[in-house]
Amino acid sequence: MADNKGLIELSVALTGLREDEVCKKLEILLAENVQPLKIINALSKGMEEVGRLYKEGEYFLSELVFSGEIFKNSTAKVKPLLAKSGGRVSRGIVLMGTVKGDIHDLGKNIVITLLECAGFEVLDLGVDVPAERFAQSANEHGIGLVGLSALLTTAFDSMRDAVRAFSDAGTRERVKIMIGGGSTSDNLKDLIGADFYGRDATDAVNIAKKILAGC
Amino acid sequence: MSNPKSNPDKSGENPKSSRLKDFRAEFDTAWEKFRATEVRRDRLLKGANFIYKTTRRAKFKDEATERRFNEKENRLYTAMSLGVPDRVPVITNGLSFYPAHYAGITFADFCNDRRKCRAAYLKFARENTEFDMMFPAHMVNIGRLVRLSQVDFIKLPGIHLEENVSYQFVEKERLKPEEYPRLIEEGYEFFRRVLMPRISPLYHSKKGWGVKLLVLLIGELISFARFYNGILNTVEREYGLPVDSSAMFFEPYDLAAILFRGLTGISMDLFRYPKEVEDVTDMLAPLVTTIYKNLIVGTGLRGAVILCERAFSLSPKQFARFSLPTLKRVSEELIARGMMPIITLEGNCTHLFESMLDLPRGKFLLNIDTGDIFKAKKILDGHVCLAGNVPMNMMVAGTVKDIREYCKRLIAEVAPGGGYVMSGALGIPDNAKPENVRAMVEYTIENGKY
Repeated sequence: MADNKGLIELSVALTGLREDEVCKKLEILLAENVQPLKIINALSKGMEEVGRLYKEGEYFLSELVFSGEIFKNSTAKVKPLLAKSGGRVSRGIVLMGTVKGDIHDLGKNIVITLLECAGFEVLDLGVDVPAERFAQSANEHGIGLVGLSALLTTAFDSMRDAVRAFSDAGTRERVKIMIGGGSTSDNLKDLIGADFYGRDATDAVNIAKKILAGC
Repeated sequence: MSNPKSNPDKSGENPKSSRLKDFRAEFDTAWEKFRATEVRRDRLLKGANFIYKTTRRAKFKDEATERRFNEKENRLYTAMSLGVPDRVPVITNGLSFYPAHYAGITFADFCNDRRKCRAAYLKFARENTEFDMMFPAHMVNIGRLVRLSQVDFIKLPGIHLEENVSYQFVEKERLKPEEYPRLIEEGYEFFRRVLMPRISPLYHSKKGWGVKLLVLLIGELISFARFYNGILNTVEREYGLPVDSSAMFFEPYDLAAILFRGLTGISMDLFRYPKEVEDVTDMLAPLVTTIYKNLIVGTGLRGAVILCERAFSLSPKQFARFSLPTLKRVSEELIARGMMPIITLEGNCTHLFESMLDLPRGKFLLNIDTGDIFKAKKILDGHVCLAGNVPMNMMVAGTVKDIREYCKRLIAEVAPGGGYVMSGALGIPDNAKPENVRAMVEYTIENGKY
């Protein structure tokens, strides 16, 4: 029960963006040999709450970015212990990248952080990614969900090419493709033949939950 | 910037410093005397501006052209001042590579080849004179300047990027968070000695650009200014189409985010080093004003665009602490010179609209990107003229019908009572469909009643 109280406090401190408090609570929980998986789950719960506050307009991007940083630093301390105890069960892998002709990575990186916080593994192809590479990588790693990011309107054709690359490779039916980024829209999703449009990073997490985790 | 010891003005020991002091004093005097309204009336800038004086002609091609120019300019300034002109003005707003796309040349040529850039921009201007104001897209012809200086914060087509890829800013950590105290303490000296060499490998911490490169850079700047003003001249005096000849720069928080820390870095700093971020933006405010001053007095520009590209990431409380005070200081300085700054809120800044009530009423144009302009109208009606909001993706991927319907809603809901200027969200996207651009213009001319 004491564990539970500590875990709830950890979760609440993360949601409240109190970095020092998260560090202290984490140290106490580790010193008490609380199961690493329980700690990770408490941190994820804190992040879920941050996502809810962001969606409801209570939190803004800077808060989302900072919470992701606290989460990353905290899980880095827990992960070595987690590996010893058998690791965390991944909810699935998502392939992410900014399409060719666009070198912006901020939006993509926020999506990646939130996906990882929610228990997904992410294979990040980086920026300026050629269309074929998305299809090849998804095929090689057996990935069923792909996220295409772009800020520039001039990258719309690259998004279309990336979707087409899956059709050309004969793997389009095996993957779901989500798009997002500054100038994208739901209408664009239909025009280029993608499956989902994420207005923000929390949408991307919800899409991943729906597709990969059946939630 | 903030440290008097480091200010070459104060040394007064060598002739070089003394000349620099004279030069700066001349700019300061010109700035104090500068009034944008007078410039508009006289069509000539008074001040230390030899480039402007030598390249700009005061006369219009004929009376009809002058009348058309004045009619458009008055329409726009009436709307910006919250008056009600004959119809809603329609402007291009931000314009970079669209004229290249329109004229069928590559972005790389538009960026690096002055002859092709000029021809493409003039073709676009000549065939689209229905606009009430055009933005100077030819200012992206900075390939040679970037090649010479090797600054790392911008990537251009044909140099770093493929030929039809838009220019992109490179935002990264150039200042470590533990260096904040030194930047605040040493000000301009730290910027010059430590940060500039990180921005360009050619900038030496002691020798600066070096004499040879400095001469080349100044020569290139003069050549660019002549090219810039030459085109401005043709579009305004021969086509009768006003060009927004504004100095474009970042508000202090943006500068810190884009140039020093990157958005991710500065987002952390807001929580870990809030006082330092506040001090740095405070310190950057006079520098930003000086940059506007030098651009305006030195090159003949007549107005100011203030870019707020990173404000969308801030909560209203953070914006009130880290951005608004310095945005206000910079804006008020420009307004005091008779300018009406165009403040561009990039991204969705709906949550910050109420903060705009802190800026002087009827003295600036607020450009709304993806924020809820209909909500902005409710909050800011009678305080500021709004512009923008025709979605960028719609201009690229939508249909003429989509555009006409969106413009119809904007005119019906945002124009009533005055204070609205039609334009694309951030301008015309580089790869917009020409028929969509025309649809926006034509719909506004046909139906743009307040």
